Amino acid sequence: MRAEKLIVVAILFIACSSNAHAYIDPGTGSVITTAVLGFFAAIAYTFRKYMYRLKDLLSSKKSAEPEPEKCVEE
Amino acid sequence: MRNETGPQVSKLIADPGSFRDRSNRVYEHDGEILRGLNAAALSNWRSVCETPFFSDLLAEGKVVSTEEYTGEKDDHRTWAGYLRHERIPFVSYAYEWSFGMLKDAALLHLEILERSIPDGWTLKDASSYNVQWVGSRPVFIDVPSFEPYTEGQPWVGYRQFCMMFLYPLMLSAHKGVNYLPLLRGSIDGIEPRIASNILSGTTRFRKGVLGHVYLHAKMESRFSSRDLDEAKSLTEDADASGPAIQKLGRHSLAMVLGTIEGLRRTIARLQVPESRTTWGNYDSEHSYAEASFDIKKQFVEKHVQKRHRHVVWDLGCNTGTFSKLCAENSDYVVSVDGDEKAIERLYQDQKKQQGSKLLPLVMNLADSSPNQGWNGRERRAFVDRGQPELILCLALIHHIVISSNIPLDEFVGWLRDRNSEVIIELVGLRDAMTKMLLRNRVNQYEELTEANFEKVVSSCFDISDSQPLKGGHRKLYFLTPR
Repeated sequence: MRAEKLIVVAILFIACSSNAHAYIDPGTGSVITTAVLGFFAAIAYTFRKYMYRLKDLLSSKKSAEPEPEKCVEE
Repeated sequence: MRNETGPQVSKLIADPGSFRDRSNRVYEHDGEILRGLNAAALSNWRSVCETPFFSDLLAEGKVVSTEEYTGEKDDHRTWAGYLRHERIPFVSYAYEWSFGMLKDAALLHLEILERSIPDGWTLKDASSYNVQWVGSRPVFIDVPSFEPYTEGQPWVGYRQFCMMFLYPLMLSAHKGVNYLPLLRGSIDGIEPRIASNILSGTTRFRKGVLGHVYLHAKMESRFSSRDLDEAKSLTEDADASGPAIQKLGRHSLAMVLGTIEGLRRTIARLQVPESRTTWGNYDSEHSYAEASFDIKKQFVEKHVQKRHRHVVWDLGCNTGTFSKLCAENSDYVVSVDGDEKAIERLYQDQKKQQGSKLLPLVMNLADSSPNQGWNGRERRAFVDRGQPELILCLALIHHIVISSNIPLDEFVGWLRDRNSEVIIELVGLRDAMTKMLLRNRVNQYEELTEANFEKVVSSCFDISDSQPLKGGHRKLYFLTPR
C-alpha cells in the first residue's frame, strides 16, 4: 500500500502538463496506471531499441569486413 | 482519391450503431457504405491518407479500403465531407469471436498503433467493434479514429483496450472463463475491478496481470472516489471545464510505445487452455462410416455446385468440412457453431488460406445474438445482418429440438423466414447421437419422425431432393422456399 502511494506521488511530482481530449473518458486511474507501467516499459523499450541498434551495428561491421580469400586450385 | 459524384444525402440511412463519436457517422446508401465527417475529421482524413504508414496499412488490407466522396449537404446535419468504405461482407461482434479471432483483432489494433504513433498519429479509441472480418482476415474499419498524436499525450484508448480485448483474453487463457457471454452482456467490455476479482490468487503473477489488471483496478477505485470528492467540493461558479488528465503527467513516446509493445508481447503469449470438447473433434470422430459420409458429401456438393451463390450460412458447421465445400461455389460463407473449440480450429485453418472467404462465428442458434445496445439497435441481431441464398443445417436439428427443446415447426418457420434454399439433415430418433441426447430425458420428441418432419417442412418448403443415410436413421433434404 505504501509503495503504491509512493509511486503515485512520484508520478504526480514529475508531472508536467499535457493535453488529451477524447470522446471516450480515458479514466484518471487508467492514465495513472499507464504512467506507472509506462515508466518501466520505457526503460525496457529504450534498452531493446539500443540493443537492436548495437546488433545492427555489429552485423553491418561484420558484413563490411572483407571475406578471407579462398584458395583456388589451379 | 476523390469521386466527384456525391451521394443523394436525403436517401442516406444512418447506421444505428455509429453515433458515439460525434465527428462522423456511417450511412448506407444504395448498398454502399458512406461516412459523413465534420471539418476536423475531414482534415484528419486528408492528412492521414498522405502518410506512408497509412498507405501501407491500406495496401496490406489491414485498414478497410476507403476513398473520399464529395456529397450534397444534408438538410439537418451538415457534414464537411464523405468517405466511401468497402463493404464488410458480414458484420460480426467480439461476442461471436473465438479466442484466436479476438487475439488477432487485438494484435491488429496494437500493430496499427505501433506503426502510426512514430509517424505522429494515434487512434482515439480502442473499441473491438472497430475491427471486422473479411473472411478470416481482421480489418480495422474506423478510419476517423486516426487523429494526430502529440508527444506527451497518454494513450487514451488504454482502458477501453483492456476492457474489450485484454481482459477477455486473460480470463480465458488464465482461468478458462468463457468471455463471450460477458462481452454480450456488457457492450463496453469487462471492467478492471471485475477482471481483478476473477484473476486473483497466483494468477496475479502471470505476465501482465499485476500491472494491467490488479494495479489498474486499484488505481481506478482510488481515483474514481477522489474525482467524486473533488466534484462535490466544487462551488456552483467554479470552473471545472479543463480536462482532468491534463494534470496527470507527460507520457513520453517511449512510455507509450513501450506500454503498447509490452501489451503486444503479453497478448502474443496468451494461449487458450486446451481441452477436448464434445464436437471439437467431430470431423475426425463423426458417427458416420466412410461410405455414408461420402454420400452426404456428394449430396451437398450436388446442390452447392448447381449455381454460384452470393452468401451461404452453414449453421452448426463444426470444424467447417461443408463450409469449405460451399466456399468453392459462393462469394462468402458464414460458418456458425456453438462450440468455441470447433470454431477456433476452423479459424486457425482458414487463417492460413490466402483470400479465405469463410467467416467462422461462435453462436448458440437457440440463443443467437439479439438486437442490443442503445435503443436495442446499436448491435444488430444475427439474422438482421444479411440475407443468405443457401442455408446448411447438417446434423443440427436434434440439438435444436432435443437439447434446446425448440419445437420443430418453430425452427422450420425460422428457417422459412430467411427466405433461402436449405440443405437440412434429419437426425431421427433411432440415431446413435439422438439416443445419446435422450439418455437422461423424457422422450417428448416424436415430432422428429421422418413422416412428421416431411409434413412440417412441406407446409412452407418444396422438398426438391432427398437422400436417406445411415440405413435410414438420418435423411438429407434439399428444400426450396414456397
